[in-house]
Amino acid sequence: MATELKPNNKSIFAGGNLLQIKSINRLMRSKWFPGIIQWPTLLVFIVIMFQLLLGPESAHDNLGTALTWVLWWPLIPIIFLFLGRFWCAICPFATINDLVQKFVGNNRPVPKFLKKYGIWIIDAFFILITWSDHVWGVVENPFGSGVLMLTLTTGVIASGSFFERRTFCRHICFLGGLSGNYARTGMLALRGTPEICATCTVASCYKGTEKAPGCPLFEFPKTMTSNANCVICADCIKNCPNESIQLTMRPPTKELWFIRKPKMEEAFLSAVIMGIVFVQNVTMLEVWGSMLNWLEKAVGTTNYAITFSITFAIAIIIPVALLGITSWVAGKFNKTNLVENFARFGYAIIALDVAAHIAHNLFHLLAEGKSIFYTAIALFGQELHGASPALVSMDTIQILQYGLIALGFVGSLYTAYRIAKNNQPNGKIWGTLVPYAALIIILTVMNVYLFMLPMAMRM
Amino acid sequence: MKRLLYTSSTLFFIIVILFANPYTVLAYEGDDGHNLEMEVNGYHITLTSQNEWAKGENAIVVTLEDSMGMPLSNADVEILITPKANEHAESGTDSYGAEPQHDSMSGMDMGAPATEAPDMTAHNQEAAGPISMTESDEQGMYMVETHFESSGEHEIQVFFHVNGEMFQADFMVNISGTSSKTLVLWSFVMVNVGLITSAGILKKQPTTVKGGQ
Repeated sequence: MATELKPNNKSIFAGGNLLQIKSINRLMRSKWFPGIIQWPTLLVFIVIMFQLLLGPESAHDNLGTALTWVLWWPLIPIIFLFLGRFWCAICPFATINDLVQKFVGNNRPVPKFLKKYGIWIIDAFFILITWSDHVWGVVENPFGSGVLMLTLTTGVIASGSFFERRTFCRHICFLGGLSGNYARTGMLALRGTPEICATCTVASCYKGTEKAPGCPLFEFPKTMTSNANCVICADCIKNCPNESIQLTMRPPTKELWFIRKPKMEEAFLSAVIMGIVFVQNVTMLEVWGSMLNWLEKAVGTTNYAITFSITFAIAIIIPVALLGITSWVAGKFNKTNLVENFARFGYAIIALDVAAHIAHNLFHLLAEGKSIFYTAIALFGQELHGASPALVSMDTIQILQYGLIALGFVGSLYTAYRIAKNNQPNGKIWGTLVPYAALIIILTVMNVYLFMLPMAMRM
Repeated sequence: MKRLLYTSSTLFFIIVILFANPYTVLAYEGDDGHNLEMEVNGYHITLTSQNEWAKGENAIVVTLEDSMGMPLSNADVEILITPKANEHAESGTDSYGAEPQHDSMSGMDMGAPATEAPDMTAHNQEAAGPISMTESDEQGMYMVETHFESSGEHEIQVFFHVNGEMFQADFMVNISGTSSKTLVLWSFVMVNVGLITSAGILKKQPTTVKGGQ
């Protein structure tokens, strides 16, 4: 039954199979992968939890805060861009899920409502958690961050205890939703070889074998066309008896050009993420205090939960509404309804989302990066008073931010063009593209403007 | 089986929602809700505990600002903690009831109190004598670590010297028996142990397994 994989002599930069490189092949098939990265990550997570819950109360002095919000949070969108959802393969929450499942897991099927509304639930959690962070100061407060981590831990323990595989990661985790969208822009893709999979009847990749469990995120590489739910854990590589699985490099955003079944909830999330990046930027601007004062006078209350909620709602509504209006305008040209255009072209914004997200967090990573070292050595009684936490100058950070936004702009514009090209007859490509190009320009200008203003630090 | 599935799913979501509830986070959000403030002769004094005024180890922070709102640096700051008589008993509650004793505030010139500067960490300092506070990296912010041996009402007197003149601010705080942080941590522990135990018990029933991790 085993079908021999035809030699693929393509260069790895032209879509060649990375598994043809012996060292990568050996690593992926090793029983130690991804455990060799997963377990140390869990150990670091334990240190972080200890620091957040029992360490210094000031975020400025807390290693857990520095490792979580200055190092990890800025790095993950970069990881998504280069390695897809690989972070999810080594995520400590997933490891806890697997551990609990191994010992007491009931392995019940995923509830139908999670399958049906999973991404909407993720969207709601993502909005709720971002809102909570601002209203209750989760990031600025180590214990608050610890409670957030404990909440997620409780979620994965519940999921691992009762449901099969990584139900939480696939259907509930807010970061999973974000990473699913971002991973579509990723440069690493894992797929089955269609001609080999077509003759396969064992489906070991999905079911699992004695070598490794089945796909933890319920994917079937035979029919998989997206990176959104592939964590590159390599279980399918180990399990496949036909050596059908290929690991390839591809141009960033390529997957977004060919979305076969666009989903409204995923397009909505991409617009929401843009709004969240706006709100993250706005609330860290030095002018935020003045804006808040104005808003307090306008609405007649100093209650931050109310004033922030208004700001938050506006920030989220702007990109969603702009995408809606653009889709309506484009519909005049391509004779497609608003919902279909919204769902299809919402994916084009993802490239700009990723760029703006990385650009925003680059500030924290590069302007506060040394705080990781300072808080770490403080654990050993060494303190550096008055030392700058910056790794590079603000000018350098701003140049990098503008560069990233420029790349995001190009990525989004080209994606919109490819989506239009793949879905519209020749005569309607430009009529469809122009409104979306205008939208992408507006969103880019808004981002650039926000990055021009001075920003406050996290630590 | 179906009923069990719905029960466990519902339980799971209740737990997630329960711990995403504002009170859980609000209670430990930080110091904003636990600040005690007072004006003495135009000086603004803020007294904060980094352990929510709970029994045990506490980092006490005093912030001083002048009438212009500028931080008051390089001041000699001391605090004296005195448990109120007959109120040492464990309250058994987690109530937080710290409030400034406005009527006792004064800017009177006092004779210098004990000027001995004890160690930054001052265990068992309740009623033992004034403790010198150390100015932190942030201007106008003075800190000391102490240990509340008992719960109940405590009087905290803050003494600070400006231009050779001493000012005093008296606060009354209610030290709770248990830190609400501890309660949260134990709540999480209990919920998670409950989940794992329930799963362990339910696992005895045969179920269909599809390649779990």
